[in-house]
Amino acid sequence: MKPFFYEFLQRIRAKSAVVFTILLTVLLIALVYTSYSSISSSVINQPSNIMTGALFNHNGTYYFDTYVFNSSTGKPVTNIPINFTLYNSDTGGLSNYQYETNSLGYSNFTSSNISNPTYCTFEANFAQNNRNSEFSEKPGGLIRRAISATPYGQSCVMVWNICKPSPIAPPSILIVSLNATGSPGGNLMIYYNYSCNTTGYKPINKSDILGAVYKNFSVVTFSPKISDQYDYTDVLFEENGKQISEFATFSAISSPPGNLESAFNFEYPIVAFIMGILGISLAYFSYNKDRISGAYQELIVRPNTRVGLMTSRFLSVSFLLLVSSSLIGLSTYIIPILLFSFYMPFSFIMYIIFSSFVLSESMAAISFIIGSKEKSAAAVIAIPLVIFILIVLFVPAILPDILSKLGIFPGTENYNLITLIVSLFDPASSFSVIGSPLFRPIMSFTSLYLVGSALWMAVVYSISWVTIPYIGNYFLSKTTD
Amino acid sequence: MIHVQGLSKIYNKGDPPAIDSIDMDINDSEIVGFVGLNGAGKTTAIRAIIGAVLPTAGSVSIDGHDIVREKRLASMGVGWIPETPVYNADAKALSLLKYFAGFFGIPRDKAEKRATDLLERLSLKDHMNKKVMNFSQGMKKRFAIAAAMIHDPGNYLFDETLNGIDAEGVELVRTIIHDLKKDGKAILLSSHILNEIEDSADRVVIIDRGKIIDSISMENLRNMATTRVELTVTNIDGNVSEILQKYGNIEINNSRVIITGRDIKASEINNDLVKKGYNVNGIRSETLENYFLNLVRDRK
Repeated sequence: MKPFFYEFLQRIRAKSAVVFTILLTVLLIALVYTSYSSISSSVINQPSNIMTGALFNHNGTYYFDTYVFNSSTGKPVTNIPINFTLYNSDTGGLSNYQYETNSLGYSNFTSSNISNPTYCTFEANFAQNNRNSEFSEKPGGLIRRAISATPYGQSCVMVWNICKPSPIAPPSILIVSLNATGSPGGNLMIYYNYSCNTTGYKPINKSDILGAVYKNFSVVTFSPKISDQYDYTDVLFEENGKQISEFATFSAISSPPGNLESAFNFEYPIVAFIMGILGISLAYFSYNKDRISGAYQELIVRPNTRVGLMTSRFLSVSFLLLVSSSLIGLSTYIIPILLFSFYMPFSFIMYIIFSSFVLSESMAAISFIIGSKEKSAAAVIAIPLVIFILIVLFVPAILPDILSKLGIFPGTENYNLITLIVSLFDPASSFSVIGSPLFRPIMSFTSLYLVGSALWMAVVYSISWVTIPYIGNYFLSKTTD
Repeated sequence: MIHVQGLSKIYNKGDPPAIDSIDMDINDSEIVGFVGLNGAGKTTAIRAIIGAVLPTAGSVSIDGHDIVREKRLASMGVGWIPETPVYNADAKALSLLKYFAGFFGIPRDKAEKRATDLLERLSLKDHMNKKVMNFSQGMKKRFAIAAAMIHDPGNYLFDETLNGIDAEGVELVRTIIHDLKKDGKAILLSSHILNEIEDSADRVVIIDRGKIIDSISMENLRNMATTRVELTVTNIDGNVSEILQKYGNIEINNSRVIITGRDIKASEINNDLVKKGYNVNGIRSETLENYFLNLVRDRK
């Protein structure tokens, strides 16, 4: 085995490296988890409107139903405009309809002109009637629910599961709107306490459902029963011993409430920022510790080259950060599923992994150059990394814009080179570089934000680059003989 | 074999060269003494030879491989025992040796055996699972020898290795150096203990202010210079004078014996007395020292 690979393997196999990676990963996951819990808790404690809806196909006529309730009081939300949007896959066209909820919080319409509806959204617009004060789930006065409109038998049921966001939060709720009688808009509403931990995998206890049904809603007209042999994805409802419907849930795990999305957007940059600082620290210590102590001499007299030694150290640091970033990304994907019963879009995971990794590696490369006297060798590492960033991030991001200017590709909004440059150093926006089709940036930041963001990153990382080596040198001078 | 040609090193622009156009050969089965005053450039030269610092000019060839252009191959053939060994703070002796062995592609089982053998040979077996940073200076030096020998290179550079080692350790190192020579290794022995070099080296290279000012075989040195050997014999008697007469002029003062002559070796005198049952406690030879000091004084 060549010394380069040998050193790389030695580094990543070292007990300290394994312990470090585990600690780092656990620490950051704990940070994210704690923040999720606290933020989620505060979110769930606020009144939040719940909207549920159904798309029902009866003899070629499609019936759209929706209810909007206040989740705290259980009372219907009246006179709220509901925007129904339907996608017809045969024509590729979108149809939009608007109807207000009535005194039952109910809004509906029918259509016979849609040959193959495959996607439908129900959107309650609180802003339109200046009703934002009643709404706290998401800024902007809109809540939107979307379903796939694939009929299941003669029913199409939408399930919204607003799960318990944290162990300390109030019980979660599940609302099922069921068109079971063949009569569109039939009043079947089920509300019950439900532990998200069992979502999708554990049969629902009948007692849980019955207890909750009468407690919160008066509109329930059936006493449902759920067969124990079926899991949650195949729920059987009966009325007086007669099966009234069997349906598959379309979404056993819901998307997070809007405020939680904001929480994620807040958390991930912190993770990426910490990873960036760690990138500087690890890169600095992985090489300079030995250089300053003199132990480096013992390595360079072995069959190592300077470039090889630095590269193997750099890559081992990169590898550990990549592993940690990946674990954090995957864990923050899994944790919400296990604990909060909603999942983040996979792009968010990519966001964590990618922004954390790229940022930390960028920082590490610069740290190598600044911290190392072997500048030429450090450049050998940094230059390919810069080229990598340019090729992997810049080019795909810039190319669509160039093409759009040439009239070959549709243009993008609010996009320029500055946003891209900033996005590379600002984890909050770096997602935009990779998060859109063909890596097109979809940023909508103001120029002020960009300037502030750029300044912030410049200040923070400049301080890091100065202070970490300074502290490192002091530390090393005390600990090495 | 190590071949050094025109080797120069300037650390900072404007400063005088630490070493200046050094030419030197260290042949197989040869011990070359490398002597010079403090700051003469011995350590810089050694560090440039083993590739720890990049030379400003010149070249170093180790067994035919250039230390800069063919660093990996060249490093396979050389072992370095630094003046002040420094190792990773947390490293333990045995695992550190095995780690070093890995760079040379030595399989782990073989590395473990060789490392264990070396630690035993250097009287460090009881410390093989202890942290090297907690070793005494002498133990670190002995460990450095083991580290240099782990891949059994053909060339060795000892940089002031005997500094800070106790008498027992000196004897051990001396034996190892001679064994290495017997095994056909090329050895550069840098030391300011000239007596040690005088006894061990086949040839002496003298460096002063970065330049090689002389290279002379010990045989020639002994022929052209007067040697003054001073030793202490605790059980001295009248026969000592008779035994030592063949070496040169004898001067005896209580237990102290001073022999002055040409081409005499302190080690031979020592062996002669020990074989005849005398206890020789201290021995000091001044051929090289005299020669070296005169040479340096002349340049000043």
